[in-house]
Amino acid sequence: MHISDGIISTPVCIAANVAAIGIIYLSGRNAKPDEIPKMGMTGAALFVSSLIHFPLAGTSIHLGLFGLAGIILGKRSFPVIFTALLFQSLIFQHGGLLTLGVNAINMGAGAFVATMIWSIAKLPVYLRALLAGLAGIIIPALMMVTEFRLSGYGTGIGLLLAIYLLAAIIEAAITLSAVKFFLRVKPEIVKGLEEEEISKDQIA
Amino acid sequence: MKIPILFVVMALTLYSMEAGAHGLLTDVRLQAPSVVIRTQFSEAQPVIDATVTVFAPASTEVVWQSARTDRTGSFAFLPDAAGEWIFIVDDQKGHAKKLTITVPADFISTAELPTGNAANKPDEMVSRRERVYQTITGLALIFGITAIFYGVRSRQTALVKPDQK
Repeated sequence: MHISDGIISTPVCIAANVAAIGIIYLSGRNAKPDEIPKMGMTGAALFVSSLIHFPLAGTSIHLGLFGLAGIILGKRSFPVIFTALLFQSLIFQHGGLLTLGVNAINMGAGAFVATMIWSIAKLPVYLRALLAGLAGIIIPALMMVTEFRLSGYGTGIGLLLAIYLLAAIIEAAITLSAVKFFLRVKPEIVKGLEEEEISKDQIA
Repeated sequence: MKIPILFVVMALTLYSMEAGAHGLLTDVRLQAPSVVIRTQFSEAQPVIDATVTVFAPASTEVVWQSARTDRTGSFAFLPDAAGEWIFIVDDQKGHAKKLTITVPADFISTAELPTGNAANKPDEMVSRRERVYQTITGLALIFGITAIFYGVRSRQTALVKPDQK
């Protein structure tokens, strides 16, 4: 899911990097000191999660945890995703440096949609967690497929989406497990739960 | 509150020691008269059946050759002209890489040349131990930045509060 340098045209990459810096400012400003340790821990989890890969259908897929980041951090997830991707690129050569903005926007979009889904109070909590986990992978995959297509790559798009759908299902299960765990030990760790009334049945 | 998260992060870190980073890596060697490209994912799994599209130096618009990597993730090609050849490796599943390989003029005429050259530096194929060190370095950097950011924001908040009173 990490796009390497040389795939997307340079002007598009530069524009995406400028846009990413703008989004970092908008989403990261006025962060309260209490939020920062949570951002750091989530960033560390995102950084490490990309190392956990699954060989599948002749390719290699990995965890993203973007949905979980969206649930935990809300809009603060974008600077965290950007930082994690920066270090993945610098340390593991995982994704390009020039395409950092494109990758951050792709994966940040997944976290953003996950945040939106998580904020739908009408849906049961666990369904929200599942859908957020799915969206955290599906949205970036759709964006990446579109970008690949526009750049003239990736003719096997149907297969790619099928592979990422499987990855999204795994991710949704992990997100659900993590949310269940947080609800049991510390419900307020997941964004927005302070304002909601979650019954004991939902938590148990 | 932080202990469970720390536990999850540590568990993921430990797991990652057994896993490997994922990404499309290439190693290019000029072995006269052929250019050999070896591909693999970072966890040493060869990129099998990936498409390789070759563009000649004279024409970057027209495809010179299309091929696929073999079961070892390798592809060999015989250039017939000096210059910058472009190779696009694409596994059709979201991993692609563009390589620009400079073929020197004497490569075409001579039978033997040293393998590799400065312009075609291969990607690092790192060992698991190096990967662990890299992971620890990355985590240390992230926690360090978090601590600095936390310190700065706490200080700013502490400075603002007395004024408000």
